[in-house]
Amino acid sequence: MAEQEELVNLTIDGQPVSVPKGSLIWAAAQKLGIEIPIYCYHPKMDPLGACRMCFVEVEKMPKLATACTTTVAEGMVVSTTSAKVKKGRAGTLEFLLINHPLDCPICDKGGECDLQDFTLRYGPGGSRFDLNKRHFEKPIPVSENILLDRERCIACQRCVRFTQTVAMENGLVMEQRGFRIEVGVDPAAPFDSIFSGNVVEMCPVGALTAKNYRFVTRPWELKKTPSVCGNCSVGCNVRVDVRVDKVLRQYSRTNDAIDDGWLCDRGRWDLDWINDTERLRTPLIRRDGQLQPVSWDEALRFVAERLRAVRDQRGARAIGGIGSTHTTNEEAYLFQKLLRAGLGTNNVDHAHGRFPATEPGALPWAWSDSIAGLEQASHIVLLGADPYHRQPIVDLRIRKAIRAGARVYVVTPEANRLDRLVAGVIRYTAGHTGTLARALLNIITSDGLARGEQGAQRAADRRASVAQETPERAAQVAGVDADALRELAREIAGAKGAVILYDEAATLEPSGATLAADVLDLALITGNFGKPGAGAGPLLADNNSLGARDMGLLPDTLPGYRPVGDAAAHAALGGAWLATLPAEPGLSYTEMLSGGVKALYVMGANPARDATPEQLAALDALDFLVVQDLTLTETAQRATVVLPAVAYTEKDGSFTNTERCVQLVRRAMQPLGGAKADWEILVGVARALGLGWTYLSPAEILSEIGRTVPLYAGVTRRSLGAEGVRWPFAPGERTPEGRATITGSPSITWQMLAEGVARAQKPGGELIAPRGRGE
Amino acid sequence: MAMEMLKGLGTTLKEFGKKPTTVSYPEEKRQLPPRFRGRHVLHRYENGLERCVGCFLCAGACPADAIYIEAEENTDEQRVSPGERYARVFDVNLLRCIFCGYCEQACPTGAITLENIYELASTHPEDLVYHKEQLLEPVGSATRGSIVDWTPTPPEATPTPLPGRQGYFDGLEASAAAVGQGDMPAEQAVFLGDDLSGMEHRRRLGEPEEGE
Repeated sequence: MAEQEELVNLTIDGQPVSVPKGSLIWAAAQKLGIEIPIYCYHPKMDPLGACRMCFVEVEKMPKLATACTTTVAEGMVVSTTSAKVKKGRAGTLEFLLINHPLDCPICDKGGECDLQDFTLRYGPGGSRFDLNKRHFEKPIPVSENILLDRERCIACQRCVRFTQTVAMENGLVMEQRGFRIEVGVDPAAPFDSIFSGNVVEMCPVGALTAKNYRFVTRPWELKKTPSVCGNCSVGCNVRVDVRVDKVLRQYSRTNDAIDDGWLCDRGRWDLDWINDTERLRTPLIRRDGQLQPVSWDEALRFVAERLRAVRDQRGARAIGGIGSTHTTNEEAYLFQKLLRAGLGTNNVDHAHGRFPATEPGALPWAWSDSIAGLEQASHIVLLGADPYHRQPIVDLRIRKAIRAGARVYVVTPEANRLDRLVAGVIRYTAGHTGTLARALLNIITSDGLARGEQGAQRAADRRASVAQETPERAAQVAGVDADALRELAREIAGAKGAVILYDEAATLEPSGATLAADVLDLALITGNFGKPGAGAGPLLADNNSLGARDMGLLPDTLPGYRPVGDAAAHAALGGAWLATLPAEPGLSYTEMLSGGVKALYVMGANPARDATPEQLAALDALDFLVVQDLTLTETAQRATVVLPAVAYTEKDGSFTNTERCVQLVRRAMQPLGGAKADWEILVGVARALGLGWTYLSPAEILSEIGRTVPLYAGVTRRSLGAEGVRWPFAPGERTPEGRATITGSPSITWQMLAEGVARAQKPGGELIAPRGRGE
Repeated sequence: MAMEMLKGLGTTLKEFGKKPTTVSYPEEKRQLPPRFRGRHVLHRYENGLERCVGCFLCAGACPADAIYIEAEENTDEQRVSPGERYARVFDVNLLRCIFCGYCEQACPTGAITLENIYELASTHPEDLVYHKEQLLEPVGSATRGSIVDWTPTPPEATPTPLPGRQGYFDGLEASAAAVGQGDMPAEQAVFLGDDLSGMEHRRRLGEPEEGE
């Protein structure tokens, strides 16, 4: 904390409390653990004061005050339990219940309903209203996924305010007035936002319910497990709600640093693949051209035998492994360890964007700032990125930044949902994101827009390499407006803090080979680096895209981005793994798929889905193909052996999100009978190969990662805590119980970049010598 | 020795003429008290609809975790219960059940009661998981079961006229608002007509009404 906030002292129910100036009484009471019931107020939205539920008595105020709209004052004396308050709250509830139907037994909210709970705690025992309640047609759809039951609505307007002020997508409006007031769909803007599910979660009654959760269970039947969403690379903190053997929904677990308390509809409801009845329940081996069920013992023995046979006949380089961006860090780590230490090959890769080879000790390709940092940015540039569809909660944070005054530039080939809200929109022909990035670099280096000594140095280094890439050339090639590019470059160069984000997929475009480096240089030269609200980086595709890279699922780097040829890393890792590691880089993803190997081990990936005909032929020509997956995917259908795996809700582990935050995933349900977690399968295969692995749990594997991977030094399940830690890590303070903790860095600085991120937080002496990020 | 034998024989002779307390089951069956708690029965309304609305409250109240329910939505084509929701699956595991009767107390519609059905024996444990089809009373029958004997007559005047018109919520007289219409007459007047949706209403305000 750089600045000491001004504190205000007050007393609530006789307990003294100090809160920052401008806080609401509700927040002060929250800090003391005193509940003040609320309906219309939501901590993430501006106060409204419509429901009159949060009445408190403030000394010297003539009437009851609403705790959600009254700010604290020095010396204030507040009572939340006086007779007057009790009477006021009971009166409000009696009014709310006049028209609220008591259909709690069939209401989806029943059991987790604020109206039920507060009526029980603060409500009157009865009602004096003996006329008929109003009735409406039972649920009317307000969107494809959400139904509105107008009888139940208490007109708190949370949903309407969410769609208008938080999601900025509109969709819902309040119609009519007084007792006729009701929620309706905005005729000008259909309610089709990807954030729509949040209104179901925040509705204090059962007025808005989810179509796919309708009547499937009651809240008390659910097993609720804190975990992390396994959908996109944002890594929103969720509560996985499971009944018996089905995942029914995910609710937000509010991590202000990542999701800010919101979830997208994909994360909330797209869980059918876990409940899929087509999932595999037994290992399969191809015999007589057919995949036939076998026992686990037989399958593991068979895999080990065949892998050993290929290695003995054709050498270790004939074996390759394709890992996944969906499995946990622990599994990615074990997978490459199995290939490298167990089978002796560096042929390990996964489907990922194109990032230039990482220099020893240099910055791994990752977002140098954080999602929360977007709020402090003065400028945000989206280069070929569509977070609304690919990383929705990042998009929601960008909207929050827009409300805070950030100038956002959307530079995408196609229309973007952010277009109507932003300062500038630049369109170009698809496939030319890299051309644009180089054109921006050209403008900045040739117009002398560099800032700072280091920026000028970097600009001088880069000037020659982008001399030909003028905006006019970009206009010709990519059909972009050159003047718009010039203006954008000037905005970035003059920004107080600019965040430049590109999509991982853009690096795979023909022009994108050096996109990652170009965008990083763009930020470095313009001085937009190393502070919250400034930086550059990729928006990755999947929940553990970054973790897969961190854990060394790459043919040329060991876990923690150490080159495969690095002798010091070999000594350290080989010592820990009791193996001699291969020194030459292995084959890449495409090389392995183009016939580079004879035996292929695929964990949680489906390369056949996007393969070319030649690659499919090469897959069919393999001597041996093992696939670990949930269902019989296109790749699994071609496999020699298929091993049934489980989803992230059925196992423990950790994911690393796109902004480098390592977070715990917890098992929320029994694994599907007959299937095993990927790490269990890998341990089984390793044991069948005679490797003597003894891991009993992902916690053990994570502890090993914490010992052997410098980038993850000190990581254990305990040190990650409830909300995760963002790498690079530093040893933190010890807990009162004497346990070691780690702290993360919100943003990567010049200093870390120069020394190498891994170096910056060295745990011991086993690290490689620092070197600058070489050009 | 002989004295003791005579004493014992005397007891036998004394009881000889009295009416026996045992019955020769299964030819003869005992008259059970009305509140005897045997197997569950699911009841119907007079109109044939099931009373059960699939609310899971019985399962929630069950201390033995013996009840498993899956609910589904009624449609106009396939109406199973009044209101929106019905139980598609309703299983009672009688091996787990401790016959405490909490389920019938939890039920908001009087759908489930424990009746004097006690002949529950099987050589297969799975036979003792009773499904909805076995628990439900046959079509045409609309009994209320032992709840009539359990529930005291409601007091004349109660402080809360909500939610049932009786003054308390026993599930027998479910208000239409609570769990659907049941076999109760529909509530008379509707306070606010639903014929005008908000948007239509607004549109009409902008235009002169037809026929005016």
